[in-house]
Formats: sequence, C-alpha cells, structure tokens
Amino acid sequence: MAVHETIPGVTRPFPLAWNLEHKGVVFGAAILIALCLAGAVLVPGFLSGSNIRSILLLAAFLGLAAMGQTFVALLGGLDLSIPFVIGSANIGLAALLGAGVPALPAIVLIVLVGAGVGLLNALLSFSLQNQALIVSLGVGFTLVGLSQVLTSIGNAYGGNVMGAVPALLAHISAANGTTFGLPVPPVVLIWVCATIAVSFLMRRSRIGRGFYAVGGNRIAAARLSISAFRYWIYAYCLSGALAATTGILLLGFSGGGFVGVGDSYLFTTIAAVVLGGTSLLGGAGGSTQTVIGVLVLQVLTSLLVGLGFSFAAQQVVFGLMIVPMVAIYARSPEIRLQI
Amino acid sequence: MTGILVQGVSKSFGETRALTDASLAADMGEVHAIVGENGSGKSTLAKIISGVLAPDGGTVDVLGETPGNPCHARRLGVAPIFQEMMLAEQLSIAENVFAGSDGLLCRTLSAKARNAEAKALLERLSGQAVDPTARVSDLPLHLKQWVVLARAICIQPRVLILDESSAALDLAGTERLHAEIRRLRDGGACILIVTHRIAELVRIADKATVLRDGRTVGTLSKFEITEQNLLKLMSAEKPPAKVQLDPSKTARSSSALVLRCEALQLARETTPFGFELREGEIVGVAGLDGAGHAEFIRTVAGIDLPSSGSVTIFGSHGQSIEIRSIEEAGAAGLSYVSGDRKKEGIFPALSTFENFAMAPYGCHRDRTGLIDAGSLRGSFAREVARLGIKVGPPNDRITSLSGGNQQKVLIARAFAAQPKVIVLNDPARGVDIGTKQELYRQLVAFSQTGGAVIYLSSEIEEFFDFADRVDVFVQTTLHRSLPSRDLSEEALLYAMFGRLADAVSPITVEEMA
Repeated sequence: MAVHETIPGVTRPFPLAWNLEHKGVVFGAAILIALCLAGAVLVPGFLSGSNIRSILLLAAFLGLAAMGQTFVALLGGLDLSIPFVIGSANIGLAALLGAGVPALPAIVLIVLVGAGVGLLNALLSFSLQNQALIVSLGVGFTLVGLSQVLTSIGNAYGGNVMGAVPALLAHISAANGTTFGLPVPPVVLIWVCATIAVSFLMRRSRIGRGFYAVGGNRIAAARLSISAFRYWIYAYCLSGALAATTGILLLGFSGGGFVGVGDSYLFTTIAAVVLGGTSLLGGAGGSTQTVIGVLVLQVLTSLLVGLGFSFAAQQVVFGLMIVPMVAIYARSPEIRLQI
Repeated sequence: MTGILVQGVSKSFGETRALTDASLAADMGEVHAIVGENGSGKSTLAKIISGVLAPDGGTVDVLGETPGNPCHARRLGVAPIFQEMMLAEQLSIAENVFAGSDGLLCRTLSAKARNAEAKALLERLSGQAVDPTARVSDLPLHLKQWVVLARAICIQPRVLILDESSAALDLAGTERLHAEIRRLRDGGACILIVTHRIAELVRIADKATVLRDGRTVGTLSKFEITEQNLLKLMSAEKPPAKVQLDPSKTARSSSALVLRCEALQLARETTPFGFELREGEIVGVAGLDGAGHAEFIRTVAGIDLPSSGSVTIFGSHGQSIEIRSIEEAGAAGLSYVSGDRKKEGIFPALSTFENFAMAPYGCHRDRTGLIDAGSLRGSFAREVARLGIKVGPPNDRITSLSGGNQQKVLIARAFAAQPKVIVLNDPARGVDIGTKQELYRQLVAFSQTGGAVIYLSSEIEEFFDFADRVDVFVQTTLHRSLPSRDLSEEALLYAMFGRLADAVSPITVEEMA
C-alpha cells in the first residue's frame, strides 16, 4: 500500500487512511499487552490455550456487534437497539426452528429482519432531526417486547425458547470448536475475515470513504454530492444485520433462546468503539480500531473473573475505565483545538 | 505606554511551524496591523496574545502581564475576535452580546436593560434596525459579524484584537467599523487588526508589523504603510505581476454555451432574469449584502432550488441537463468551492490528503472499481505543486494548515474532479494577496482550456484584470452586466448601489458611510 513518492517538502510515504489513527492503535495495543502481562503474572493459566480460546470466542460475538456500532458512530450517531436486536434474533430464531422452519431460510429471514429494524432506525432518526439515541432505544424496546409476545403465544415461557439448535450452528459457536483442523472456533475466523474485509473496503472504496466525509462534516459532504441520508441507511442497516447475526451465533453458543442474552452489549459495544478511538462525534476511527477496543474489554473481563471479581465489581471497573479513556482522546491536541 | 510587547515568540503544531521568531510592540491609543501572507502566522500570533494558545518560546507581555488563558486575558481587558465566528446560534442577539458578562449565579443586568443596550449598540454598528431578541441562527452573515463585534466592544476593551473581522462586511459596514475602531483608539485602547485587505489597513493603521513564514520581517510606521512597501516585505521576491489577459478573450460569443438560466426567480415576487455562461468565460458576480448574488451562486450550483425558472448545463455532445440538486450539478461537471471553509468545506478530522481525495475518488479507480491510491497520490502531488500549497506532511490533519492553505486544498480538490464549470462562492475570504493572484492565474489557465468560471466576491478589486464580465445583483435580481472593458471600481459601485453610471449625482465612499 505504502508507495514511496517524493513531493516537494514531503519525503514520507502516505498510505490512504490509516495514518491519523496510528497513535490510538499503538496506545490501545500497549494497554492490551499490559493487560495480558498482568493476567499472566496474577492469574494462573491465563495464557493457556483454552482461556485464550474462550476470550477470542466472546470477543468474536462482541466484535461483530461492535462493528455495526462502529459504522453508526462514524456518522456521529449511536445505535442503542443493538442489545434488543440480539435478544430478539436469539429467541426469534429459536422459535422459528421450533416451529419447523428449515435452518437456512430461518437464519436469512432473521438477518433481513435485523437489517429492516436498522432501516426503521435510520428513517425515523433521520427524519426526526437525528434523535438517534432515543429513536433507536424506542425501536429496540418495541422490538424486544414484540418478539417476546410473539414467541410466548402457545406457551407460558415468554423470553425463553427451548429447542434443538442445528449442529452446524452449534459447531460454529462452540468454545472447543475447530476450523479446518485449527483449534479456533469458526466464529472467530468469521469475525477476523469480516473485519479484514470491512477495513479494506472502508479504505479503498468510495462508499467507505463517504462514511468519513458524512461523519466529519455533513454539509461539506453534501457539497461533494455525498448524501448523508443514504449513509445513515447504510450504517443502521449494517448495524441491525450484524446485531441479528450476533444473536444467531449466540444461539449456537448457548443452545437455547434467551431474550436477555444481548443485555450486556448495550454498554460493551459503545465501550469497545470508544476504547478503540472512534470518535462518537463522527468522522474518525474505524473497525480496525474497534477490534482493539473489543480485545481490551474481553481480556480485562477475563482478568477480573480470574481475580475473583463479582459481576458487580467488574461493572465498577468498566465504568471507571471509560472516563479516563475518553479524557485521553478528547485531550489530544487536534480534537481539543477543534472543539 | 506600551500595551503589547511580544518578543521572539515561536509556536509549532505537530511538524508545522507556525511561528519561528515573531515580535511585536504596540502602544495604547494605537491601531496596529499584523500583515502577512497565508500561513505566515498572523492568526497564531493573535491567539497567543489573547491567551488562547501558549507559545513554545519567547515572551508575551500584555498590559504588564503574561496572559495564561483566555479568561485571564479577558480580565486584563483583552477582547479577541477570531476568523471563525463563534456564536451560540440558538440564543438571542442580546444573550450573545452579553455572554460571559454574568457571575455564576447572578445576572449583573436585567433582561430588559441588556436588550435595550444590545439594540442600541448593534444599531449603531450595523446601521440598521435590529431586534435584540431575534435568534442568531436566523441572521444574515454580516449581522452575525456585528454581533461578534458588539460582544467584544461592550466590555469596553483595553486591547481589541480583530482577526479578519471585516471579511463579512460590505463597504459601508467596513466604514462604520473603522469609525468604531477610531473611537476606541481615541479612548486610549490598543487595537490589533489582522487583515488581508491592504486598502483597508492603509487607511486605518497607525503602525504595522509584517510577518513572513512565522518571522517578523519589519515594522512600518503610519507614513510608511503603503501597498508597495507591504507587498515588498510580505513576499520575499518582488510583488507578483498582475494576471495577463489572453488577448483572444474578447470574442467569446462564438464559443459553445455551457450553462444557461432561464426566467430565474430567486425569491417570490422578484424580477425574473436570464444568465448565460460560455466555454472559456470567467464571470464575476457582485452585489451588496443581501442583494441576491449569494442566492444566485447557490442556485446555480444546485444547493438551493429557485423559486421558479431553470438552470441547465449543456454536455459536450450538446445534450442539456437540468440542474435540480447538487448531485445532478456534480454529475454534469460542475464543481463548487465555498469561502466558508469551516462550515461547508473541510473535514476537520481528516488529513490534508484525505480532504483533497474526497472529491476525485470517482476519477481514480482501478479495474476492480476500488480507489487507485497510487494515481490519486500522483494527482495530489501535481495539484499541490501547481497551486503552491504549503502542506506539512500530507497525513497531518487539515486543521494544522493556515486558513489560506486550507482554501487552496479545497480549490485543488475542485480542479481534481475535472469539472467543466467551477462555481466559487467568495473563495478568497481571508486569503492573502499572493494566494489570490495565484488563484486568478489558475482560473485563467482553466478557462483557456475551455473551462467556465463563475466567481462571487465581496471585494470588488478582485474582478479587475481577470473577469470577462461582472454581473451585478440588486434587489435579488440581475441588475447589470458589465463587460471587462467597462470595468472600473466606480462603475461597479454605481451598479451595486442600483444606479446607472450616467446617473445625475455621483456618489462617493464618504457618502456611503
């Protein structure tokens, strides 16, 4: 990528998009390494194969959902419907399978419904003067209620749907799963490939670059014929579809549908985006950086669990961690001068 | 008595060195101008004096103290007005004027008193009736500028810093601003002006400090301040020669039509008019504030829809495309450059290179349809060299460049999309004379290859020796079209004030003020 070229006064090569985020990536990677070292010293068996595998497995679920959140955050929006889409997709698929729908059409349908929810988010939040926060929360609430009502018809257990999960789906999300003989669950590979493809396209395609234009300065983008409305739809549809995919994969992991399976993703998807260095004001960051945020969160979780922290205590640590991270990014001189 | 004493100050942003060795000494009761080309460090120096930026080295002394932050400077009596208009758009005029004058919990003035005071102050400044409770976001640009000025003036500043503050004002407004500056100076205040309008500072400045590449290269006293002396100091070489007109420019009527407006009405109940633009033509657009020339430019570019009538672009094979949106205009080969860089130009979070690349992505694609980064970088290098843009490392944020160089990047971006028509909306706002001359040269070169240019400017001097004709707007319609041979400052002013050149009583600048 980095072609060397001499311009008067410029001797450095300049790749297309990576450069500015450089510092954030290096910083995030340093934290990640520090956490791994701390884990290795403090928790016996932290760097064992099975622990690393379980970290990566959970990171893959979060990573796919956070990738969707990244698209939306790049435009300066937030998708708060993600946890509800995950939960609804989770019980929705279980209910469809229980009703005898074949696996492949059921999965495709759920992903399309997820994208449809994203479309609704986009249309509503854009036409209501970008009240993305409350609109996506409202849509999510409606959806999760609706899916519980629908799946509880004919049984007494709204919110929990039991049933047989297809073997392939269970294999993809299994903690001890293997891919082509490698000791890595297939879902991790799916996450890695999706991230590589998205990062590449964000850098090298016109549509990818458009996300940065719209997020950075919507009026300037409009002057270059880049329509904010179209990108709003792209971002929310991708976010909805990815959240639905996460819900589907989580069904393979747990074996039974549970509507609350996505609850923790409300905070963690946003935290991963912020920790990675994608600005919630839009226009800077990307899915590669979010990967680092995801890994930091999962390694930290694993470390805290290993140290015997309760779930409540973990929440305290996560909450406290976000503030200094935001402070560090907001205090970087470029952003400070801008604000 | 010395008001401001700056010695040997330096300041860098990343790898861009804004100031290397700047010095300045201004007395109280003096109008002191800071002059220099784009990127020479004027705005940075103004920000250091007002405590917004801390210098890397050197000493700053304002009224006997070193301002550590903007609040400290304010307590000393320093009122800065920067290039970017910083207003609380959702608040009223009066609330904006008195912003920051209250204590934490108590108001020092009743709402009624501040409305009355804001009204009196703004009417004196703007010369028109003002409703102090009106929301700032609804105001035209020049009134916003007056609100910013009123906010600074109402605290009775001992040091007033004006960074390109007359850019949004018309001639009469500039005159009123000068009267206000003189009044403050006679009251013993020190006024620091940063401006590119040389004609303006020749009239008003008592002293001038000239910067070049972040270094103070000279100080001129009242009688030494002439256009020639300033230009000589500002540019290392001789003052740039005026743009030479192509002699073949006279006969244009034969070349092909590229853009036509028919029965265009910019607002309801205004007179409809027609407009034609031919290949190789450079058309200037002028008018007083609110005369409709800005609306015309936006309509031609497809940003606003006309009240009635049509804008049509003719393709290379004679097909006609009606423009109803900026997407259609862009697809038909029209590029738009705005002088309001911050609002509708730059992407502040992205690098210089990415800012440039955002428009020409469509022209640089490889066989798979992906962006061809190599060819794009080549185009960037060519345009940077051609326009003489002072870029730091292309990966640094565009905000690390000076305002003028940011504007050059935006103009390079417009050229790189290979347009047939370039529409420029006051692109030279706050840009120095060297850059302007360079821009004119580029536009003339563009027109010689068959391109057509529509150029709006709020400074009428810009049109001379460069535009084929100037279309003057009055009362939201096209009033007169002046061909280049009839172009003079006088003729333009007459037209802008809605008079014909042979009208009975000639008006003068004094009369307008």
